[in-house]
Amino acid sequence: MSRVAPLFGPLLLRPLRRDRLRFALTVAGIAVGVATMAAILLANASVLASFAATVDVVAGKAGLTVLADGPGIPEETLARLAWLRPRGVALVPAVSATAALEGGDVVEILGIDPVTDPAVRDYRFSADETTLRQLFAIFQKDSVLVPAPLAERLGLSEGSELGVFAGGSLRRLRVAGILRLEGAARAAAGSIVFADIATAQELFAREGFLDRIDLVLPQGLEAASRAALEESVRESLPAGVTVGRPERRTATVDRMVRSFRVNLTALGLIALLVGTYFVYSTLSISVLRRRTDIGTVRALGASSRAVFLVFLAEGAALGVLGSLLGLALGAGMAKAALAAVGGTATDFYLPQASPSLALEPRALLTAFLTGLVTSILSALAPALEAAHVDPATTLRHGSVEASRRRAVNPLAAAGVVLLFLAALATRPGPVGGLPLFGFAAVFLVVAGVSLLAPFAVTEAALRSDRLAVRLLGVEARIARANLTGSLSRTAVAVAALSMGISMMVAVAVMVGSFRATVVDWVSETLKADLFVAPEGGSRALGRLPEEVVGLLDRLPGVASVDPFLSFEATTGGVPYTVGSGRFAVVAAHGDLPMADGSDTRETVRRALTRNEALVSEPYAVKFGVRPGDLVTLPALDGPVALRVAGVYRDYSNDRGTVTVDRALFQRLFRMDGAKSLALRLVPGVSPEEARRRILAATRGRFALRIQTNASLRDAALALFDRTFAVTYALEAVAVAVAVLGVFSTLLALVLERRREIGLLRVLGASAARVSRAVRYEAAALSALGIGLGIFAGAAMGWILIHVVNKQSFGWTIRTDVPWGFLAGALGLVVLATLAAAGRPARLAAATDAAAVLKEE
Amino acid sequence: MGAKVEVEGVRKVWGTGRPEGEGAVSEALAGVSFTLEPGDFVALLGPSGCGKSTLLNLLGALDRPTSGRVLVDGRDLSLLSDTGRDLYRRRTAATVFQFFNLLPTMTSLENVALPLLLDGIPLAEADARAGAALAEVGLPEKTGSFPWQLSGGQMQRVAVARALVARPSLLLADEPTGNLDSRSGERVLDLVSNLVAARGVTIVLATHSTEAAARASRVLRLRDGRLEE
Amino acid sequence: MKCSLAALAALVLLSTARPAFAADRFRPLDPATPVTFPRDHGAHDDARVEWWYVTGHLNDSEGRRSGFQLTFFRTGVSDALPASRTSSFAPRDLHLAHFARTDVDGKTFRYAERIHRDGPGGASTRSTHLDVANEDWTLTELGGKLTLRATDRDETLTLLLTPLKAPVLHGENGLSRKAPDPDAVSRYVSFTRLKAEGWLTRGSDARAVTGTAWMDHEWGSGAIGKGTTGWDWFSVQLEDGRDLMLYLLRGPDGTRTLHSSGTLVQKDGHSTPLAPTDFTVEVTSRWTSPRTKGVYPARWILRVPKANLALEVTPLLADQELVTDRSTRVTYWEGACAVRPLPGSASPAGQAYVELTGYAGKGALGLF
Repeated sequence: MSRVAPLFGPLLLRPLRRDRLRFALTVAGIAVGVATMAAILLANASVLASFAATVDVVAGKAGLTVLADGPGIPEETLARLAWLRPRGVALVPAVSATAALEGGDVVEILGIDPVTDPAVRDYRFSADETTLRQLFAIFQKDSVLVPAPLAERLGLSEGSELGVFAGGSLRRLRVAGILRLEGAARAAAGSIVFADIATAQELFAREGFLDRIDLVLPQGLEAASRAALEESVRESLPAGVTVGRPERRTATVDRMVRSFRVNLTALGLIALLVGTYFVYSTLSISVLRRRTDIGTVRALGASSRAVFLVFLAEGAALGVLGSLLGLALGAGMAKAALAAVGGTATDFYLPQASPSLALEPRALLTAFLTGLVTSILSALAPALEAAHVDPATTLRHGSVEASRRRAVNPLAAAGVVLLFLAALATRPGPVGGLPLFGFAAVFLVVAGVSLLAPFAVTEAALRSDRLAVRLLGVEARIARANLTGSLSRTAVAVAALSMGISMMVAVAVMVGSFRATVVDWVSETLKADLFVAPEGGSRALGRLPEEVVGLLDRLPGVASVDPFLSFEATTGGVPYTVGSGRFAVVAAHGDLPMADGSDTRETVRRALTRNEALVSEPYAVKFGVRPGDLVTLPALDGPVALRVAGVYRDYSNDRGTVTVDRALFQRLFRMDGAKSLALRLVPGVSPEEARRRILAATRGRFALRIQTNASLRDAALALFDRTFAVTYALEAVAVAVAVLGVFSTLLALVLERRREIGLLRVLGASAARVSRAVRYEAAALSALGIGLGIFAGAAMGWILIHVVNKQSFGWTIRTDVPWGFLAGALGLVVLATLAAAGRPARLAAATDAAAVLKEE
Repeated sequence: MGAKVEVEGVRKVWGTGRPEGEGAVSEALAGVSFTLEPGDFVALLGPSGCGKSTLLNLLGALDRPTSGRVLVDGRDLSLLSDTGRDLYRRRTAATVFQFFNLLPTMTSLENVALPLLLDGIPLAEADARAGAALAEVGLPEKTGSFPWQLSGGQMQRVAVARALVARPSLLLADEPTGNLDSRSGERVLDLVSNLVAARGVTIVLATHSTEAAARASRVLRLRDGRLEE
Repeated sequence: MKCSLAALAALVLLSTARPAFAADRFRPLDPATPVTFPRDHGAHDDARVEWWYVTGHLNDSEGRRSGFQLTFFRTGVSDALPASRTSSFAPRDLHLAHFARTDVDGKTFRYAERIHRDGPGGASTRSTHLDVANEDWTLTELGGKLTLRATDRDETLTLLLTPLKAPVLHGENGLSRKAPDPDAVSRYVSFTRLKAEGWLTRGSDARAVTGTAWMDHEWGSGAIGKGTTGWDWFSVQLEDGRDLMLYLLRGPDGTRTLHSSGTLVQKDGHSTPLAPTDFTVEVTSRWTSPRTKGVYPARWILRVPKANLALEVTPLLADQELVTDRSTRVTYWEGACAVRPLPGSASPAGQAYVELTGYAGKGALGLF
């Protein structure tokens, strides 16, 4: 490197001082891209890490954990496993639930057996000495142990009361002890409450069922005997109950959030692409501006390799700087995102308290390396160009550009090929449940359109020239000449802008279509007059007792009641939902639109009479199930295969749902009550009147949330909008970066073309005209960027809707372009680019013709 | 018709960036006076740094004298507004440079049409006149060529066409043959002298080539910012 | 007087629960209530603590001698009977159990412990007749005979126990005083002599065994054991057909005897209570536990002058100490002992089981 080192001063450091603004922008550009990516990865890693930590803490010293595929582990399973005890295996049962506290906090409630639990989990009390006596305090009915931080937050001490929404009412529990934030108390980041297993079963109407049995294996068990033991355990388990390593829950959650994460990461990657455009742009401008310097150092004996390395090093340095900044920024963004709503993923998949930010090294490294590598890659071309500067004759700009111009058509041809490949990539199905080909198609579109950018710029310039000159005057021609004259930069600016725009358009089209589809669906499905659910924060938690169902059934003024009841099931580690409703009510009202448009009433009636199941579209796509196929449900008395009567549309749950009639559901799973109830009223009875009657009938014994049709719809759409808020933020970032790119490009072009601007002044062009030409150039750049962006965005939007979304989540989405939003957003982009042209335009206007011409 | 040019005691001083006192300023022109009658073909001779370019910039209203006046057809260039100066450069004074200074991203025709378009001439007319101008300089077939597709002589001929297309009354030529081989230089000079003779344009030709100076009707020698006629 | 361990557990829970007798479940013993069998061999839900305790000496066909102890404790943790509760885990009692074997010739002592709450797959008791279980350890009455089964690691003991005498009610009508406190009484019933026949298997080696066992059953709700730091308890079966039970409670200072009592059972099953003045216990040797450093009495001379008994009681194995970390968290010594007539006396020989508590650590009561 000793041959390279002396070059840094003249070629890099001094110019760096001169071009501080552009370098700052470049670093910022990379930083924003890396930050977006880091934020996504970190937020995701934090959610998973917090879940994994909880899984670990809850699993404690367990070597194996028994879990249920179905609604729960029948508690007799403990007796079936009793043979393990003489073999030195401890069996530790537990019941778990998520519940809302009075005041809105959401906590996990773990029902434990204080006698056996210390074998698997540690409990440390805040009091000086920890004894079993303290743990045994929860033998008292409705007593709980609370971790110190939670107790502090809620102002609890030993003996105080804790209000928990459970079983449809607000239950007051007694705090029997305060735990130190150690051992089991660290689960769910301390948002956990421990009760006796019996208390938990009774609170959540889970009598007869367990949620987990942890097995603590004897120490020093060999792998082979362990495997044999696991196999024997498996053989003694009832149907629908599985045994395995405790961590497998994490894998299930990982599967749940994977689609979400991959989708966001792909979007983040596009943001980064836009960001690394800066590196290319800045470096190629550096190379151009330092052409003479390069020629000089080459003449002085610097090898072309040394020059190449210097510029590559510059790219790497920018990459490192930008990426580091991006990581810090990304961590901040992730923290904010997690704090805001506990993260979208959390909201949907992990109903527990907001996870704290985990600075997972792998996520940080991935984002950093992606930033660095893309920076170096985009520095490659400028560095090569620098390396080829001839020491003898410093070539003039025009001829360099001329050689570039010859590449326009081959590039365009390559772009067309990529677009064709993109079209092909929309055909194959998902790979391992992920729409990998769909993402490939998206990136092919981005790449293809980028390659088309030079062609588009030259074509548009040539074809629009005369018309533009007629309409806008000679400034338009000057602008056009500049656009085509610095194709290597303008085309890249256009490509970058189009990338940002395409992302915005694609996401807007996708989200807009999705929203319109959901709005339609909501209005088709939410037709009942009143919806009753257990009280407890914003989330749908808990289950109302059967008594409430009966009460509403008999309530005067209520025409029909459709109680919804469900549980989360897994099959081979893949999660899905088993739900139920009264098919007779559904058949009467037909408010369950079928995916294939077939008649709901008839399908549901058939399902009712033949004991068949309905599956949601995501389930059908995920498990490849069609009407007429069989689905197997983990019924308590053994697996039950049901024929699928039809596939219905459902946008509320991407895990997929198998829905059966309530009577069948209760027979198969021995579960009663309802998670929510949809009520239709007798004509003439107002929702307010019905609400009064319900409250009068329950007389405060139940804590109910009664929502009218309108308020539930609003809530559903609010949830939808909240879910997609993060994608809007991403688009905004990409567009902002692209607009910054336009600014940087224009600034560079103005600096580079001072001579030509001076010449124009000599030819009699006024300062105003020169600056107007720059603004036209900005307008042309943004118009081209927007044009290509709309084209690419439309294609990507289509792919997102029909390939990525369909394959990831299984949703059919009707394309519905949000014209108004797009027009507004694109208008903003135009305004932003024009505003970005302000400074370069002023700079151009201020060019001193005599001085620049004198520089010769 | 050519322009009448009156230069009266023009001084031009540049700051050198040194502190006050000795050598703080450098004098590019140290009181130059001369008058050109319409149709004059004046060669401005002198070594590099003698102030030729400074004088041309003053004549082209690209710069203002530190003291003294430059009058073209009786108008003091120093008193022109910015708009007036732009107008002056578009209609009255045209420049031909040593390095041609064609806009690299425009075709010959577009380069030549540029002054006309800048002056608000409609596109069709501008194109027609530019085409004619290119024909006049002997390059009718090069209208669609970009500068990098032309030889040096051709480029300079396009520059001449661009300079004359708006029918200026004053042509300022700054070493127009400096970057050309002698044959191309001859052709360009022929072209310029013929066209000028035909139109009666006043010419100031800055050069250090005595051959070029030989074509002039009058020679002004500039040394250290002073005229030594 | 095997009250010790269960009483400790009860005390532990008393401190967090409401005062004794406050709720409807636990009642003081009513002396007027007659003891009836087989019902009173079963569990008593209205008693806070209850235990069944079987000890015995066995011989196999090759003459190898061994001792065993199988204990089931039940202690109430919930003041209210869980009638209002719907969970099968609703806590009612804690069930603790200890199982120990002494291989006299092999000089080994092994033990295991268990603790469970009510609920599926754990432990259970019945209140109609004797039927207690803790996982797969069971003690059941069938047609006037008892069956016992327990396993630990590769060892399984299966016994059929045939009462050779009617159940003995200790104290006054079975009411046995356990501390100076008037509430500190329990019902104390024993089968002092049971014929034992069955199998002791170890891995694939199964040996038929025969011998003699002793079973205690006690229950009560009062402050049993309050104010005591430990006790020595003796169950002696003599070759002349007589059986002797003695216990001594030590006071807070840990040495002075606070209260003592005993029962002498004749060959025909007729029993007479022994007052503290009726007997003496003299310690003639001591043993220090290598694990707990507890110093235990290790040889005694028992004298019951009015029964003409002067006996030397010697452990068959010095180390028969149980450190029960998982269940009761009490360290005690419970072991098979040989009984020989004191030289020069006309007493018969015999066998005994002795329980010693409060000798290791800071005292029996503070350990939980």
